[in-house]
Amino acid sequence: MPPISNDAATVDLDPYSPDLTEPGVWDVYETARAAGPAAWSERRGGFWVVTNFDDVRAALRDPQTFSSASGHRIPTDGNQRAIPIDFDPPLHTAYRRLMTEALSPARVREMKPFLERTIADLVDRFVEAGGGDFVRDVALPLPLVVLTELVGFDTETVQKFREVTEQMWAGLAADEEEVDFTGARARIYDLMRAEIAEHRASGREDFVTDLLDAEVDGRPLSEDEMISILATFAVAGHETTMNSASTLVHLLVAEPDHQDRLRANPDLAPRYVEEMLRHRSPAQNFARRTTCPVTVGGQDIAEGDAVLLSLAAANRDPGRFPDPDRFDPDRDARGHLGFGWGIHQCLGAALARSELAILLWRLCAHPPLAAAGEVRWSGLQGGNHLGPTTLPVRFGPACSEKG
Amino acid sequence: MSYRVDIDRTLCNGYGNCVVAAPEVFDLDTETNIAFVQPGHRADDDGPALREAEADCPVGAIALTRT
Ligand code: HEM
Ligand code: SF4
Repeated sequence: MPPISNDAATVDLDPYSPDLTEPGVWDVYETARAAGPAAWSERRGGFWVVTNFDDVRAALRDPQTFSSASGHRIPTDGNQRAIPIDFDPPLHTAYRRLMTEALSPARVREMKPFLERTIADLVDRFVEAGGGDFVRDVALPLPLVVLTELVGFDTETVQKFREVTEQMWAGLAADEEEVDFTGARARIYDLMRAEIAEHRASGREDFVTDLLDAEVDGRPLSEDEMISILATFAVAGHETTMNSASTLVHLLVAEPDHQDRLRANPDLAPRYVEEMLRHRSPAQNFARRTTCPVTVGGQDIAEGDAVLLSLAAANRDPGRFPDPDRFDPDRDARGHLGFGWGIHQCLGAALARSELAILLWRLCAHPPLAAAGEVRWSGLQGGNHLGPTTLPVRFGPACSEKG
Repeated sequence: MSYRVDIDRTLCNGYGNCVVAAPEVFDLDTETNIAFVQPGHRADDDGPALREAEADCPVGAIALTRT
């Protein structure tokens, strides 16, 4: 749908472009911000890019106007059916309730000893090996092991998550302007169907088995609904945590001063985590579709238009966070939009915060980390997720040598 | 105008949005990560902030009652 007026601000932004990556991605957001509070991009069927903190938060707060029911990725064509993220109330509320128990603060607290054990194992083995690729050796396995405990996925199933997820991202990033959501998620859905069959047979006591008897709206959950819920855990639960963990460790090796400071005072770990979530926004952009005409920052937006809410741009809005490009664990990062805001705010926030802080603590118990090669970043996966794909590190004396 | 503030502790998911909206009134328990109303706060001063906290809670855990 074209913008209403011809004088609308425009920006050339394709969420699936491989060029949207470190470090240039931040310039793209600043270009969009400079163009206007809502800038129109012609790509992928056309959509508005919203960059200012207040506008993004106001939209997240107003699901009646900014609906999730046509999808959370561009294009909002109605072919995304991830539970609960692609639904509006009242169904969203009912779905989300089914998932809350697995991720409540109480449950996360219960899991703390498990998290500490798991993270200690992974990190200690990595240190004994003298380092390696942090993404492959620690950041990826960590959320996968957590998902076996949290949801009840089989160990062999989670081994396949990375492969099927990467296939999904590749499917979404196809060259044409179209995006084939159904094709891209086919393999991951097959995997979830097999998990459900296995749990029907074994009756193992866990979240998957609970789901088999769950009800929504006074009726049993359909198999498609179960598959969708489990696929959300599989993707949302691993991609984000992996990227967050690697981004934090990249910060430590790229800026030794920050590492020294944390090592001298590991209690700062939660602050490092929060400021990383603000500064890097591992989950960068979420789409909505308008249900009525609306004005964003003075720009008229028609009913039915796609809107991309850039959490990453909002988290670097200088009006909300002074000197926003600077990583500063001492700033008050509270209220950042790294986990979103409002009714879709990340269900896994408590878990992710806990995992990441424990990870930093554990790393601080070992010799300092240094880069052992070049970090590589992917483009935004699914138009959204940003993190290192390779991060070679080693342990040893603080990296004072240049290079 | 003053309000009574109730938090449904079984619903609260520890997002802390209420603390962002009304830092004088809400805080998160450092042990449980669940929100509580700070003792001794004067609810009559914080009408708009309280309503914002109520509206911003992702799980609808905050209930305001006019007193
Ligand atoms: C640091 C890591 C993480 C980040 C940055 C992150 C980010 C986000 C964001 C921004 C949203 C809002 C989406 C929207 O408004 O449309 C979201 C939703 C969600 N996240 Fe996370 N997430 C993280 C970890 C996790 C984990 C570990 C899990 C589960 C194990 C999880 C499960 C979910 C679910 C189920 C939703 C959908 C909630 C809804 O639609 O009501 N996330 N996440
Ligand atoms: S906003 Fe709601 S869920 Fe979040 S801490 Fe406050 S009461 Fe709890």
